[in-house]
Amino acid sequence: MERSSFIFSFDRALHLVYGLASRYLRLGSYYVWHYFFLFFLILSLILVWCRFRHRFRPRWRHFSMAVILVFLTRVMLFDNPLAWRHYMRVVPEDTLSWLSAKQALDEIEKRELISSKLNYLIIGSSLTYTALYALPSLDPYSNRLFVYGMQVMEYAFCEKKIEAFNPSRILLYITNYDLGHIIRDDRCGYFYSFEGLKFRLLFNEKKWPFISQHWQRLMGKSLTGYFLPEYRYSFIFRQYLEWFLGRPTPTKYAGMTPEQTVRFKINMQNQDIRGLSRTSLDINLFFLDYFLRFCRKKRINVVMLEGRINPLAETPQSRELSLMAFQKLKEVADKYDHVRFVPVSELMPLEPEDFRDMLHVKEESSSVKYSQSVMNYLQKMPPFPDR
Amino acid sequence: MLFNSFEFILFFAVVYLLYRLSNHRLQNFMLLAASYLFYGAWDWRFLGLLLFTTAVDYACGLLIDQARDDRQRKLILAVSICVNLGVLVFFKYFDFFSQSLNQLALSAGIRLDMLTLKIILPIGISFYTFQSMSYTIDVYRRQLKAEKNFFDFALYVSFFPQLVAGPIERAVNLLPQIKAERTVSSSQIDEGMWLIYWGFFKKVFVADNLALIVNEVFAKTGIFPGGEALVGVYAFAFQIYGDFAGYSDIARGLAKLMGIELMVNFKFPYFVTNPRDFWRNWHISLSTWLRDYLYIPLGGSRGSRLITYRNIFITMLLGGLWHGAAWHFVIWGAYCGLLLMAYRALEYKPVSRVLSFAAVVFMFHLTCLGWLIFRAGCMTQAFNMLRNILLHFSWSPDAGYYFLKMCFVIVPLLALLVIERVKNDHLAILKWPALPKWALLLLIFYLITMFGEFGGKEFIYFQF
Repeated sequence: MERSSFIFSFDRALHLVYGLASRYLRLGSYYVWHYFFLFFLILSLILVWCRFRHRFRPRWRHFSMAVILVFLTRVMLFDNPLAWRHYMRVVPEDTLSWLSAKQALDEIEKRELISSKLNYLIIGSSLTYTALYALPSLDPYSNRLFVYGMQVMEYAFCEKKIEAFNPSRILLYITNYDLGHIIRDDRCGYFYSFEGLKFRLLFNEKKWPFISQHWQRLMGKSLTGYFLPEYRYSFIFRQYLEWFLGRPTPTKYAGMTPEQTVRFKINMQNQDIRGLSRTSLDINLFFLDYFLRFCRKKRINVVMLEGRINPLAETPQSRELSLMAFQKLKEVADKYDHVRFVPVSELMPLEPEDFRDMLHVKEESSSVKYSQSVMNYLQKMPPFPDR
Repeated sequence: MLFNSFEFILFFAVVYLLYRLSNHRLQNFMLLAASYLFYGAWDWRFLGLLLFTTAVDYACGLLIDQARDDRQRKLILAVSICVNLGVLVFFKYFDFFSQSLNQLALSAGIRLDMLTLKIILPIGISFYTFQSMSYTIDVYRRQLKAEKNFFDFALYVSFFPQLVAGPIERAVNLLPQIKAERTVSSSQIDEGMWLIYWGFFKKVFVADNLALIVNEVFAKTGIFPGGEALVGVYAFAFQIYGDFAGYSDIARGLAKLMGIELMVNFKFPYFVTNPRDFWRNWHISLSTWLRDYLYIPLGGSRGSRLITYRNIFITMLLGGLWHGAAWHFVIWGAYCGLLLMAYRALEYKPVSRVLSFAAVVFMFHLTCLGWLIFRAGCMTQAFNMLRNILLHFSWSPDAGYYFLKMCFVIVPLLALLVIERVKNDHLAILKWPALPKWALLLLIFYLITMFGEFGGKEFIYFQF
């Protein structure tokens, strides 16, 4: 058995337990169930401890008491919607890094999810966020899950979160930039889960080129975060400390700064390492396929929209890569009956004036029109076959 | 495989389980295999080098034991020392000497073009070479019988908790423990767990948090507020302590869990009043090694005052060079030598508590000056920092922030060290009543998990 298969099996078992409980106990999302599960687990532990503590040797008695205290503190600090609301009030979102803010918002959101199905879950990067900015207001039964700089391969990292949203359809807005820009090895460490480990093993097996020391360190962080929520959410307490020491760090910025835009344009023209690459395309497509198989298993249909970056940023090489990329996307979509590919010709064309920089659509104006055209298309789209 | 990595935790869990299930002979074989695996995880190519050093010293030990006369014994010892130092010089110092000669010749207008090999430095080479070399010297001095079992000797050289960053164990201490059947008492388990926990705290909470400040400050060039430079130097003093003492504590803790006692490598180096005591508290395994195998053979303090100064200076100079193949390490060694010589000349002993405290503060600052030389990439940077502290001293908002952050990290460390110092016992906290002890353990747990840096940063002393 390959090492990755072993990890996958273990992870599947965890999924199964959580999934069954949420499905049959009807307690809402499995995160909510998880909350109840933890509560009962700790309650049982306390009861067992109270009943049998005199039978333990003093050393074990104290140790078990400390463990129970740690669990109780965890519930109070991290499995408590009130605590999260407090953190977000005391630690303003704009003083957190974009990732920490995202994590904090997710924590609030996932505890408030209802178990009824969403029409659409929009997943993607800031490019997706800006292009489909107005879509949730057009369809109240839609929601979005986006991470700044999210790459196609990262969809597969969010399996647990996607399950929590319980969508009937997923909407992907994929540009050539999302598919082909260089894979950043700092990304996988952000997801505190076994996913990071799975992908590490897959990368090893495929002998893809970017495994580095940096990645190793992030894996350590990722796994530590998985096992220790105190570490996973340490950004809150660090932020408290920074605030106390008088140095908040405002680092959140959605989209590109003007300097980044200039640098991006130069990089695209020079086709240097930050430009688009064939290897990144292959890796992303591999993981996209992996993600689509996950959606099929969970009976979630997928609509893939062909996205666009600012035409001014395109170069002959990037256009060539785009053609290849979207041809491949179409092939992938044809392979599965739960996947639809929507070419750019079917939607409102995006011109240079619709963009606020080299990548992002203007949210307040162009996005509204573009989202409307997407919504019109989705409403006319023939239904997916029953499965 | 770093102690502060998941790979190591898994590795140790498996090794420990097998260890506890095996009998004594099997334990030694298993530990040897684990040690080679541990070392090979960094770079398997250097396993050959480790084996070579082990084989040479094993053979030399046996030959010295069997030699008929002193001349023969001396000759074999010379072979052992030459091979060990040869390996060390080749891998660690060849390029340094070669480049230095090139530069010296160039400054004299001569172009030498001496070969540089750009060899990767095998991790922990300085530690295991010194450890292995001390064995043959001890056998030569008849302080120890030569070890006949190659596997036991190989385990002595490569015992994984202390293989890559010490403590540099003496055969007299470690070999008998390897040979004897070991039992692990419950107090050893308690102490071992505490040392590991305490070591992680020093590394993950103290050293790696301070590293953020130190790296920021030492990356600055030109004129910047002296307050920042000063805090950067203070932070480095505690970073290097937390890093190295943390490693040593973890190493001792791991060994204790297996029923093996390693020597104490750090006591309370920043609570001392003079340079001599500093070296009796800092990296004790190296300073006693240098004392026993370099300073005393050079004549120690048996000769005239001048000869004693010379011996101190040479010992510390070479001690500095041991830390790394760079001139700033040599200068740091010379600085430490000068401090020891000055102390020997003055032999000052504070007579009251106030003066003792003043002496501790003064000694800490002298040590910090040494750390400034040690940490700076080159002497120009060291002078630049010093100039900013002495001539451009001002207090910026950044300096204030660094200072408060440093205090947040070092206050808990100092508080615990003071408790240990007052009781003069590294395990004083273990002897506390249950309630405060567990409260403290929980506090440390939260400091590590909520404020620790889990990037798996390498230990500073690995580079030596």
